[in-house]
Amino acid sequence: MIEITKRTTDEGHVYEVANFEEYAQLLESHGIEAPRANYHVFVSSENESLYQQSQCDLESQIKLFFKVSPASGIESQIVEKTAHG
Amino acid sequence: MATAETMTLPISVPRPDSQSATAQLLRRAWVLHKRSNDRDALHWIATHSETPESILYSLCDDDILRAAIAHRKNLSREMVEFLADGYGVDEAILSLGKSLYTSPEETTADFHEFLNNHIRHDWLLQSLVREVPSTGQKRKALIEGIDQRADRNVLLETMDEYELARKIKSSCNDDELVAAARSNSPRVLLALAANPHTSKDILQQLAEISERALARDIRNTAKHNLGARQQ
Repeated sequence: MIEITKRTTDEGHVYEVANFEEYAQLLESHGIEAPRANYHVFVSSENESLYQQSQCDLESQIKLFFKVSPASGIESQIVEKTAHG
Repeated sequence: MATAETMTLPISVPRPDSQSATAQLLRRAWVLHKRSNDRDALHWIATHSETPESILYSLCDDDILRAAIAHRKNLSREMVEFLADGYGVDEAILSLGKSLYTSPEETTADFHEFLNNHIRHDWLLQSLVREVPSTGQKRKALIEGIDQRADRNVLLETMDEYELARKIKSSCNDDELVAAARSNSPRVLLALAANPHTSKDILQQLAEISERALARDIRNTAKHNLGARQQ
């Protein structure tokens, strides 16, 4: 199970893979090329609400970007972290 | 391979537009990696299923990235033609050839032209003779192309073998099935083992077969077929 952390900032949210090495190894064990950069995906509050209005499942799109959508065969979950962890 | 030293890269989701958020993120990542000329990172983008083709075109100047792109499964016809005709990428030529030969939407004239341009590729012909043509005219065109080659007999034998195997796999004709059981072709025997109309006697023989190509597959398929009869 790959955990993607959703961190709240003053201006929106940041999504990042919790354990990048474990994530990269799991992708490669599934024959999927792992990214060479540890992407931290920022979504502003404004854009977040625009995606909500357009009924787009943004978090599924972010999982797809990380190559951990259900089609990849890799389970993943987004875990929201508060300022206190 | 990503390592502990992998760089952290902030990237922002843009406003919604006609492209998916994933495609937009990939576009942003591409801009960053192109600027730093990070080939490894660009390779990841080239292999990502959601990368827009407009980006893939821009990566095709690089041999390694081009090969990665050619291995993708969901390329448009235009992209495959670009790779095949523009760069002579083997995977793209093969993909295009199979499509022209097997798709009813493709004309015989187009297949003929393609074949004239690529008749020199042994691997292409060895692959095409295994496929099911969408028309008899395309099959004829392929045979005419093969006829001019030194390895014509081998290619025609392979074509015959695959055609017979396809026929035997669904035949209800006992004489055909008994004749197929005497075949030396492992592919024909495998088709026979899978046919629900093959007699139990023949299946029992096939379930014991050994010391030939595909022997394990033939045995397992025959056993599975026999097992299905007992249910």
